[in-house]
Amino acid sequence: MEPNGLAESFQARFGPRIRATRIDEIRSNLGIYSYPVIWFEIDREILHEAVAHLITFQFPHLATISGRDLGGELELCYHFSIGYGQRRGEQSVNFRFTVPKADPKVRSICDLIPGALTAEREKIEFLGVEFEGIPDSRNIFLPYDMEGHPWRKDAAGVKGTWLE
Amino acid sequence: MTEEEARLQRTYYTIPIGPTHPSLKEPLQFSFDLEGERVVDVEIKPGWNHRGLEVLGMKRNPLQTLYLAERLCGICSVSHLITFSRAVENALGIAVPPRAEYIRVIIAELERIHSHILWAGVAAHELGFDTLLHLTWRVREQVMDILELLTGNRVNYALVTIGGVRRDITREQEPLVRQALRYYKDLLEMLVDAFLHDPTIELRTRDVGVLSYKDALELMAVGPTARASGVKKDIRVDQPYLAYPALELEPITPDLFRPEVHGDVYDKIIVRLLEVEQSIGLIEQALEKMPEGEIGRATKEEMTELLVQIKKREGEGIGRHEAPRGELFHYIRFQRDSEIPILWKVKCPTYSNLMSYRPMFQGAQIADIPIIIACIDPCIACMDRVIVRRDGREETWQIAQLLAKSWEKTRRLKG
Repeated sequence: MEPNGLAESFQARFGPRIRATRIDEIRSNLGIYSYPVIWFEIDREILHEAVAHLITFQFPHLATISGRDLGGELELCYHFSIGYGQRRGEQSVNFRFTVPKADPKVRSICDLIPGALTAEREKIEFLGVEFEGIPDSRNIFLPYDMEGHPWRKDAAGVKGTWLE
Repeated sequence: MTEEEARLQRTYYTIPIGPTHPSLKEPLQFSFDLEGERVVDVEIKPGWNHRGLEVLGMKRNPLQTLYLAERLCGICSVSHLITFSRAVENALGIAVPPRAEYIRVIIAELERIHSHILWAGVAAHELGFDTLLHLTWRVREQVMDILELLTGNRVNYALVTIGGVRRDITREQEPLVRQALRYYKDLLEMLVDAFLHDPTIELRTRDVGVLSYKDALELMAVGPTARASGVKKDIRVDQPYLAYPALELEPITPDLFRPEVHGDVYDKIIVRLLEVEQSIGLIEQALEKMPEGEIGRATKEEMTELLVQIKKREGEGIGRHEAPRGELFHYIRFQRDSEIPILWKVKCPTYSNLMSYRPMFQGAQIADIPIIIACIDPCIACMDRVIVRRDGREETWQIAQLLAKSWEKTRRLKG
């Protein structure tokens, strides 16, 4: 699959709900090869459909989900890749979107990709994102009873009582 | 019957294992539901040593974070450094001299050799073959010596930097590296014989800890764990980086050794031992093809200049590397007028392989728990304690008791 073809397929399927597309060509320093990294800025509503559309090409590999606090909003970026298993065939595909802090709801993709659970649970505890339809929403890396979300800029820090 | 009544009527015990010793790099807590000797289900809780390093990295410039990134992991420290450097280089468009790319490959593959041999020793210990443990760890010393010769350190080599490497491989060092490679080539036959042609090891590992192709794919398994189930994910082949595009290699799957892929612990041993052979070949190719020339910048003035460049530019980049345990992933993003990244996300291989534990444990025996925990190579073969609850009474099992159970099974099989 050509990176341009992949980007066009997504644009044709989702139209303006894909807000921006960027394709970075990462060149090998030996000068003999390059691979594409595709960045999609999307509406959060189409995430689930976009991942389902990606699965029609190949069952994708999800590295992880990265996220940060923008102040009033939370930004999430899903780092996928497809084309593994073929020599020099893998390309990275990233979906990025923001959700308001007042309503941090995102549809879980665990029904499509069961292996996304660790990454989603990590975003729940560290950023306070709410995933709808997630099979297990407990903390994973942080204690089960921990309050607050450490990656939020307004996080209050460690309470004195936790250290006792 | 309500759910609560069903829960009360259940006949299995719950055994928590871990969290492990805090000084070890990957403490995990396992909670096993058991029906007699058989594992029904398992729940895994990581995070006992979460140090918040990503947040620390977002308060420092990338040159300071180099030292932090290297210390994310003690066994595969150069992997983190390569991945972090590549993320920064991709984000800001920094070129790396070809010779430095070859040197990075050589160090990364030497690290794979030492990591896989270390794992083989751990696996032997879990199964009760302590002579094999001491043998494998003894022969591992040779590669540690070579790493020390090339970089000055046995671990945390401080060799890779943004835009290159800090030390060259000299003409005098090359023959010593080749000599070590010959040593491992000669040894490999013996290691394959000791592990893969031993009937007791085969009895203990065949069809134990099975991860099906479908589960490996859907649960995002990476590295030898995925390849042992037949999923051909290897970033060095799929999306080559460093000097890998110029080198000949194929992903290693167990069917290269035995016709069928089982996805069990035995297959994971096959993949790791064959990868040691593959790494030897890659280092030989790299030494052969390595061009003369620059290796990158490392002086104080050049580093200051690099920081100025980082501050002027903006961008985001992904670094991926096939570490000994699987895909390592770093994502970094910079804003203009700041050398401090606004986002740094690290994803290590065990994070991806964690979910594969569940299908691997289902149906296993208590005595197989140590080898299954070790089989994805999480470096937590150092289980701390086990608490057994029976009839409301708690017994604390030490690691030694659990290992004794595993060894007892091996002795029984040996007859």
